[in-house]
Amino acid sequence: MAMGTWVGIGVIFCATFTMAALFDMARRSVDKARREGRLQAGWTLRDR
Amino acid sequence: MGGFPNFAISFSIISILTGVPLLYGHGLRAGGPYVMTVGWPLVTIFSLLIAASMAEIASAIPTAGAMYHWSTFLGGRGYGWLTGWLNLLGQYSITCGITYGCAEFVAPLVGISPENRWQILLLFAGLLLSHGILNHFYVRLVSFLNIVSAWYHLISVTVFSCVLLAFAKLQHVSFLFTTGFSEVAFRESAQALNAPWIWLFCLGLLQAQWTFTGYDASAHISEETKLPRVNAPWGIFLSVAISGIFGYGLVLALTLAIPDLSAAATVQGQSVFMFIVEQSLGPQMGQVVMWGVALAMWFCGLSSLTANARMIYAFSRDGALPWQKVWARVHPKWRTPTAATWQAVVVAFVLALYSEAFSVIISIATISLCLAYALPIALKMRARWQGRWRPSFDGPWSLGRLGPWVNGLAVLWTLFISVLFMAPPNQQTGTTMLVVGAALAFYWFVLGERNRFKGPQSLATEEAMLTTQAQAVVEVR
Repeated sequence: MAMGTWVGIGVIFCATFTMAALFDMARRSVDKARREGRLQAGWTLRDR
Repeated sequence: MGGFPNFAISFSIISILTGVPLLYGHGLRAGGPYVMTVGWPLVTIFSLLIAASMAEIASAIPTAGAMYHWSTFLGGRGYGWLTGWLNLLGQYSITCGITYGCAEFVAPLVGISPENRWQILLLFAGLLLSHGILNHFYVRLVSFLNIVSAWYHLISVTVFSCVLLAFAKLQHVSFLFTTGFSEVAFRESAQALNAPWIWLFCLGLLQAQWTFTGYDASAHISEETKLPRVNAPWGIFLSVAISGIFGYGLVLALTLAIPDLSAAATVQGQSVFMFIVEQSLGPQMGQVVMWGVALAMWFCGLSSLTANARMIYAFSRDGALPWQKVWARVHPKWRTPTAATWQAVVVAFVLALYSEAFSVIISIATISLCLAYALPIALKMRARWQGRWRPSFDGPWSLGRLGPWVNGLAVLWTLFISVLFMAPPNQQTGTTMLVVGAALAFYWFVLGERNRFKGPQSLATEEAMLTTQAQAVVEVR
């Protein structure tokens, strides 16, 4: 196969990996916050 | 509003069925099928990084002003003002680009020649008017149509891709990695621009990059969303991820269905998308698909005008626009920001008169919106670097230790595409952005806006924010 094809396959693999990794990281952090009762935690106007 | 309606509004504005058909020819002519096969996932990667960075901030600071509120809190009122104007400019241009593109797409279907600019402008005005009337009088119907639009996009993209794969005479898979549409034509376009193929490939990325805009809408409606610190970031991230997956299926099916690459890329008098669909599915089936796509574009234009009017309303409410009291008025009977709605309609029309090239309008929209997305991300990086942003400020939707890397790559990508889409042959975009930048600097420093603008006044009052969150927590429990 030509080099362009290998580069293309690499980009498609990276896109799949990035999407899965970001989704998994966010899902874990939300699950952790839910377990710890911190779903409403975050920056507030008091932190300005 | 729950999680799905929040996702639906962003997904409708991204609208795969608007971005792909309108700019398929731009991508194909620039770098051949390779732009579709490799360019789309490449842009998806970086759009996901931008979306994830924005989602993190939306989870920490879920306010309706979104980016310009974030920039104000993270960098000061000057940065907030600049972000707001970039966001507003992007929204004007995207409203114009979507509806003008829809008019150009519908023109051949109703017997108007694509060369007849005045008739297309008339059609464009009619479409804008229909969006304006619905946004003025029927806000509940518009809200319902956003949900319909999300389902319509998901179902019609799936059906359309399957129909193409089932009935069209498909090319071999290796065709997807073809890097030019014909040797002669490719050499001509490369010589005309005096550019190597890789540069043309990069210019072709505008197709996917323009499609992935408008997902900030999920942040803008966070105050109306239950559990905003969780649902708003998921709305931002998933609208990009799902558009990436479904959009890729559509561009691959469309590319495999190209009957004759050279003929498709050099077609005159109709869009490349229309040519491929009619050649592979026949004229009758092709017409049905075209009207289906036109309806999706109309839905997208409607959602875009809604978001644009809300931005004008919020920005005026905070005193950032001239004649702010007029635009910040909500009609007592219809409960909609009517003046802001019609202002958006008029500005979108004037923008189409100003710019003759469709690619210029969408380049302005893409650059302005991406800069408005990247500015608060960069300011958050700076605040973290200076120790002003502590881990306890992060919301429940967080990328943890990888956050700074994701933020950094998102900002770098934005800088890269901003330069790319202002370079030849989009010099008009570059000139426009420079003039707009100079005008904003003059307004801020010379005309005294620097002393007058006090920053967001209505900061999504703490009470309102906490009440919404408390209600959501009760419902979750």
